[in-house]
Amino acid sequence: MVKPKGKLAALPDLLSLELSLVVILGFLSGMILTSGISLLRDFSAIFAPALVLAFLSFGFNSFNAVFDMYLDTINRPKRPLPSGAYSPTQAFILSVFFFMSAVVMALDFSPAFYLTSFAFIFLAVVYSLPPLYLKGTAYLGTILASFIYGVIPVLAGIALFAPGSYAPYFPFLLVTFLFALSAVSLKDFET
Amino acid sequence: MGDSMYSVRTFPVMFGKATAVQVSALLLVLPYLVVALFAAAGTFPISSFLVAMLGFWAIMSAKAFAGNPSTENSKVILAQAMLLSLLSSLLLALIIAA
Repeated sequence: MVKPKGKLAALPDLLSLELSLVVILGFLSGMILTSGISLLRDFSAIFAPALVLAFLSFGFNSFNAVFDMYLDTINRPKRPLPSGAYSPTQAFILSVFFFMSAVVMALDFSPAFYLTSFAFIFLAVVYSLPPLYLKGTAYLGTILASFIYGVIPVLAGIALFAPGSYAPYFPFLLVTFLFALSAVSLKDFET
Repeated sequence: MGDSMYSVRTFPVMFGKATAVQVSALLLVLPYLVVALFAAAGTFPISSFLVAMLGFWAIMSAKAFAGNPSTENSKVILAQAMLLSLLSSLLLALIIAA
């Protein structure tokens, strides 16, 4: 039995902070594409929507941890749930909190941004929640995870400032999708 | 592995580890080839070749991973690949927006 970390020490692992950075930087790429680099000087314009994306990522990772607990017990027993730092119920409540906070905060922005945030949650649920559990299906799980991390954050950045004009950005979205696909496929070797 | 026990269809479970390593190594380099292709076709600005050149780093990472596909090495390569792809995405966005 692995000695559990404290709740606070286990929180970054539960929320996968490094993946929220991936989501935020993807979002910034989308913003830069539509509005140029000058927008980066306006911290107030970036902070709140970036926080929405971070909350979506936190919600996704704690939600995923709940339904991956049986796998993590074997592969990664030091993770917050198998080690006992958090119970599945606590992790689930955290994920609902982050998802709901993100949805409420997203209402302040364009409808396209709100819809993109909602799509993130929908895909996260479809990815992790049995019986759908697309994570467990051949190819589709990998493609979906790559879409969630590589495409949705960039779409959110575009949706904030250029809603409705996605076609010119398809080549860029393909490239970010492929970047995410390479990372997701490497992640398979972690266990 | 728990993944195969619970039928989670990860690449090593689907293809076997040796083939999965080759597929993943190829996927590391693929985005940079696509960037080069789009730059050559005029879809991206010609300066996007700067991003495509970062693909040489990806090639070295792919070689390092294919040579030693252990769990520990895959974590190092993953961290490198994530950092490189994030920087590449931002650089590409800056080049396109400029």
